[in-house]
Amino acid sequence: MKCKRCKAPAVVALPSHHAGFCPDCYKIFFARQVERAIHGQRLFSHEDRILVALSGGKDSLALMLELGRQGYDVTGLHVDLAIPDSSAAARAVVEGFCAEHGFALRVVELEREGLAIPLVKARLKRPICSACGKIKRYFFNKVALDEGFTVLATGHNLDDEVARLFANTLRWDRAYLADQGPLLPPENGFARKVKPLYRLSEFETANYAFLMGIDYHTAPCPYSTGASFTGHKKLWADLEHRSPGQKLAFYELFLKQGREAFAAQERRVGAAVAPCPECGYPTSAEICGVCRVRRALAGEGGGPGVGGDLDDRDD
Amino acid sequence: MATVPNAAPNAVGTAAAGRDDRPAPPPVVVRLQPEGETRTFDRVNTALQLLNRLGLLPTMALVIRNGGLLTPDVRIRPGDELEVRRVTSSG
Ligand code: SF4
Ligand SMILES: [Zn+2]
Ligand SMILES: [Zn+2]
Repeated sequence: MKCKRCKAPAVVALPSHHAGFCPDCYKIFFARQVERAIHGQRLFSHEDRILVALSGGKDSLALMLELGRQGYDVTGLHVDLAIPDSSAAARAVVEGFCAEHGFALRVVELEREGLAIPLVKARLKRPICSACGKIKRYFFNKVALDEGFTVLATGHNLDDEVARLFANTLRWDRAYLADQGPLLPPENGFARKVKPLYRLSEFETANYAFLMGIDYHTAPCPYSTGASFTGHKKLWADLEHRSPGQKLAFYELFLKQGREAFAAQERRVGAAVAPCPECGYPTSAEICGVCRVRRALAGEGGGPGVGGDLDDRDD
Repeated sequence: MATVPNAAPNAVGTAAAGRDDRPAPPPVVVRLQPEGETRTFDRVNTALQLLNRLGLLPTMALVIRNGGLLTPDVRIRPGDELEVRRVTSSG
């Protein structure tokens, strides 16, 4: 197979783009997809201060590197979950990556916050991942707002977004469908959130990470239950294999033709958001999910109900 | 690679099969990531065929040989040492 752009031997074949690319042209392809997402969806500009959530996985590191190459003002944020045999390795990958590329990095240590995930897990009756996700999002938002970042970027790729959209669609979850997308505007006290890799599949970010020599964290979290979306990802892989390009079309057409209908209805009947009386974080519940986790850890009341807040609106 | 290939390292895969006294061509040795498991395969002709045998679609994994990526149409040779790196993260 030959490179579509320069006819050198291809190293990446992309059925969805009817193309193969050599290493150099692949990097150009990848950069253009990111640019197209940023400009097409008006995600941010070179004036913005961008906080990039870095888990240590390929997607977040690929995002950080590419935004840096495009000259954006980026700072990394890693949340150290304090999970034995896992968090230290992920953190080391992130720290090594940022040191190598000269990126500024903030680290939030949940241990210090009294919210070490093993501790939370021991006290909660429900599966840990929902609370863990909530705590991570809480600190992403909080650091962004406290330190004056104008944008919070995450490495969600097309497969993540399609799996999530599909799950929301199966439930016709109006509130989630109303604001799923690569851009959530800054409202209700939340930082503006963006997903600049939304046009790129997991396969595409993996190829980019490989070709850029990014050394990423792959060991699964010991608490992972095998990810709820994995079944949907498999289904979509088969659909995409049969008609390449369908995944991106499903998502783009939702943005163009589907989302506004849900958003309009949500504006009429959606839940109101107010600052949490304990920490000031925006919430649609009486107190925010993280304060409920803190209360549970302090032994007040039963297990916290950690669903239903609008701060769930993004994973 | 952590495992010792079970064929002589200097065995050259020759196309001219058919003579009974020739040693069988060395197998293709594949390291699967992220599990780190090693498997061997006989008679794999292309990267696509290898992925099929592993139950993977071409966009589910990277196929790596000598530090470089292979597209599905690339021919695999007996004795090749490959890495197949699945790309699906668990969240
Ligand atoms: S698998 Fe669950 S517990 Fe582990 S990091 Fe992810 S959300 Fe947290
Ligand atoms: Zn090229
Ligand atoms: Zn609170």
